[in-house]
Amino acid sequence: MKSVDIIVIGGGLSGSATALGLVREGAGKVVLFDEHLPSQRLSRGNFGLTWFMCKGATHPVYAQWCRMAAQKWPDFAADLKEETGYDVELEWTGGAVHAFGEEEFNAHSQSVESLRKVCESVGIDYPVKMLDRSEFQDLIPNMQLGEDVTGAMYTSEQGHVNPLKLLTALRCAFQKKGGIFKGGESIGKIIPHKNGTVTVKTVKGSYQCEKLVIAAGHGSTRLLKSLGEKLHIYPSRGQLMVTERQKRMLRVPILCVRQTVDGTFLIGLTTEDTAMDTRTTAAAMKDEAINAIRLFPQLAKYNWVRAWGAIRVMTPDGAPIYSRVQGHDNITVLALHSAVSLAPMKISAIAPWILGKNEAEQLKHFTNGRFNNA
Amino acid sequence: MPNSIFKYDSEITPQMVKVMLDGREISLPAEMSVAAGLLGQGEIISRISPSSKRACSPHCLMGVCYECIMEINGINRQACMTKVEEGMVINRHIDGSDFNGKYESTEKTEANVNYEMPKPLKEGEPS
Amino acid sequence: MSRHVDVIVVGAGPAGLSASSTLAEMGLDVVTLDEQPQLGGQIYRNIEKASPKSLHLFGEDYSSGLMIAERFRKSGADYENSTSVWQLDSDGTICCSSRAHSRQMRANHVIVATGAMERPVPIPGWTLPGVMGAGAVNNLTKESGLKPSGNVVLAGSGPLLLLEATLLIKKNVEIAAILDTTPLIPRVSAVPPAPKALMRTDFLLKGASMLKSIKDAGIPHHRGVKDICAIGTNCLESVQARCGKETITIPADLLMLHFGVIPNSHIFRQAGCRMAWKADQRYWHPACDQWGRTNFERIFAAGDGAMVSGGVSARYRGELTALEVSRCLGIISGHERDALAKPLKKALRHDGWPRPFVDAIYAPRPEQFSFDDATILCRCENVTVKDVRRAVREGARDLNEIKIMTRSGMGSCQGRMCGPALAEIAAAEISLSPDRLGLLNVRPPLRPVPLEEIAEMELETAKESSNWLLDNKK
Repeated sequence: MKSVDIIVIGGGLSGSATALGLVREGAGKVVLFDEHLPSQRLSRGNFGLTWFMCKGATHPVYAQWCRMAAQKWPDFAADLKEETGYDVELEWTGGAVHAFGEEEFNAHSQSVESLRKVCESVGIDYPVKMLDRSEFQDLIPNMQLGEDVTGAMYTSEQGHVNPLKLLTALRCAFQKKGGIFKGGESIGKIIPHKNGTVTVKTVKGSYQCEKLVIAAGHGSTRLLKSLGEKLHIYPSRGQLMVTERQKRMLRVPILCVRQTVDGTFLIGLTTEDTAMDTRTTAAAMKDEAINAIRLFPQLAKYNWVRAWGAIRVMTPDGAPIYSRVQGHDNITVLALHSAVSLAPMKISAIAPWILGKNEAEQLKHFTNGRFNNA
Repeated sequence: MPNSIFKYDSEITPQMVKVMLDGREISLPAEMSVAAGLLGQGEIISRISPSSKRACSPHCLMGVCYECIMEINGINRQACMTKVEEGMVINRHIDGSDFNGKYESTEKTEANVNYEMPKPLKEGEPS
Repeated sequence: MSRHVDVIVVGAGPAGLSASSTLAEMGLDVVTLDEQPQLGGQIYRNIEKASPKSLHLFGEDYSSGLMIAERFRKSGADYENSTSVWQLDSDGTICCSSRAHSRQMRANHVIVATGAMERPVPIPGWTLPGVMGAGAVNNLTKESGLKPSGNVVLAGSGPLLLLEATLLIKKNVEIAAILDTTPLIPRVSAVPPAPKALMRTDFLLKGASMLKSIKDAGIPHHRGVKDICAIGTNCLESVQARCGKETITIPADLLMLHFGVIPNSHIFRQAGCRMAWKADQRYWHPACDQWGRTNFERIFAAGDGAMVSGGVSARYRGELTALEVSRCLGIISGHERDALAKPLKKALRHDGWPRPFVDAIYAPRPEQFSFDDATILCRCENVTVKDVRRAVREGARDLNEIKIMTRSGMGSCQGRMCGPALAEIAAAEISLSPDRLGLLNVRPPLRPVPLEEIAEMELETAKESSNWLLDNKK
């Protein structure tokens, strides 16, 4: 049996970022396990927005959390580059959500106003404004807007990244700081002991640790079940399309269309209840293509080269779960969508909290137990 | 300019049709693929790779390698899988003007200005 | 409106044409979709328009395609050329694109006969203009009457490399050199199958005559060559290789590469078919029963796409698959199928005698591929061998993990050109067999499709059940 200080189960974005945060905090010997499962690769299917806009309409603390994360992004990306040489391709060019027709434009306006009030309630600003059609067009002069576009909600204080480069950089930085990454090693069993240690059995051996972090996406449900805790998450499929590379034209990412640094256009997104089925469907591809062309007619001539489906981790209120496991203070579970946007918080808030150094005041709003009576 | 690396068998006299290649009118043999037709004319460069920015020539000529992608009638297509047709408009963009990773210079809004780093928040402190 | 047919056959090479003909002759509603403008696949490319000279040059291996094409034309199968299938679902639904228009089609059974492709083996400089697959040059000759000029070098391994050399000799193309990477000492595994191969004198004579013609033409045929390198700044200028202790450099305008052929299996992987690893030939193929049935009841594989065994065998295997499909559709009984299959199986065995011997001699060996750090592995995304090695060192243990870290396999070709070598390189880093690292996921679309085609595509929607008698009254 190998003895380590902390084990993190789940080498996706949340697990990797947390593991990096832990080694940066000097947590000792940290091991990060990743199964490389083809089915549950939600971190590999991410759209790549570092986004706070529209988030937390019914959950003020979540709105605050998202805003804090977005603000940390530029430094977070710069640090990763310095540590690893990997450029996560952050472009801090804002973000927009387009509107088709007057009704949608008005709905967007109302949403901006109501979120502004929500944010006020927790003492933060909400730097989002409505752009009319011509203002929106001026923002992205190389993309001709479709005739149905009436405008957009817009903020300049967010951006987009390459989520795959991010995952790569996180794991690289973690290892450079002395962390041990084990790819392709599945977890069999978690056995907590009375003396406060935990044994983790994998397909290749047994490990003993002082603290355990479970960030295995939908795989966490199974792991927590054995510890007697029900994790309140459910699957939601998103399907994405990507085009061939084009000249850089779209500088500001739109919620459903963004152009990457490479020049490809990413087109999304669907929200479907399909359990763990990651396949793509022709019907979704058609809907996404129609929507994208309606927004930017010039996309019609570009080739679609690949599609994929990924399964989001959804919670009943949409906000993340950062939670100690009931009866096991040394076991923490992280379960969330938007792992790209929230990645910096893993470093600044989650890792210190796991180590018992300090607890950000927001964290009490993100327990798994909040759903127990629902 | 690379050497012409293919020539027609002496017996063959293909029937030619007019197409536009990179803005100039040329003749290509009908009844064969655009890739083959261009190779027969000594045009061995198919495109500039959008990733390496280097010139490519067709590699497999059976639809596998995607090195012969060209803009044909407004859409990027595999030249080895596309038959030559009269009046076709082919653009290879081999002058290197595309895919230079930069935006066209017409941007004039705030998005064009180098972004300002937002002020970092202190932990737990609302902005 | 979308269409429902008895059988969709994907591919119009020997397997696809034979399968289509057999089924259509039985009166079934068959649609044969082929992405090439002309039927025949790679081996019978342009067969219907081939000149007498071309038929003579390529000999019986090629001209036998005439009969197959003729039978297909008469069979009544519905043939759609220049049609790319871009999605196959396990229930027999396909999406395809032709003439700037995409549509959905459904069949009770789909026979996939997508044939083989050359095994892509990255060498330094293989992205230079002037470096091509040997099969590409073969296609140009068949399709366009083009032949290489200038300094031509052939490099690689396998019977098709030598065959291509003899064809070029017949066309009076001057070959500067053949750089043969086949090891000088054959594998031990080549010895047991040899006696069976000896029973096919026709085959042995063919092999001997190829070597003789190369020798008679006075072409330098270097064997046991290693470390082939294409050199040039803007295009190919020379080819370098290690020949024993000596390094040779040959000025070249055209380098033709060939390292054997592997199944063109992307469509099976996209559909989710179970794949099997053929360890001696180091390639993946769909796992099939003797009739070509994959793990999906409605999806069959025939010909070289199922497993590489050449054009003649592909024809028989296409027919065998068709027999089983017709049994599934209730057209013939199991007894009839077996009776009809008997002579086909016998012919298949006869054709297959030399195969284990040839396979053993030319079996790819990992040590043949000395991948250099600076070599570009993924042509689409410009990913080097070094990038892949770094990803493995950083903990990636699955090809898809390497893909997301490096972008290798994320371009337009979806890993067709880099996938096999990617597996070899990564596996060698951690001393595993390549199959232990999984397979790159293949996603729709199998071919790039303009977004407007998808947007305009008509989709099959579940129809409400109705009573046709009542409907007719209206």
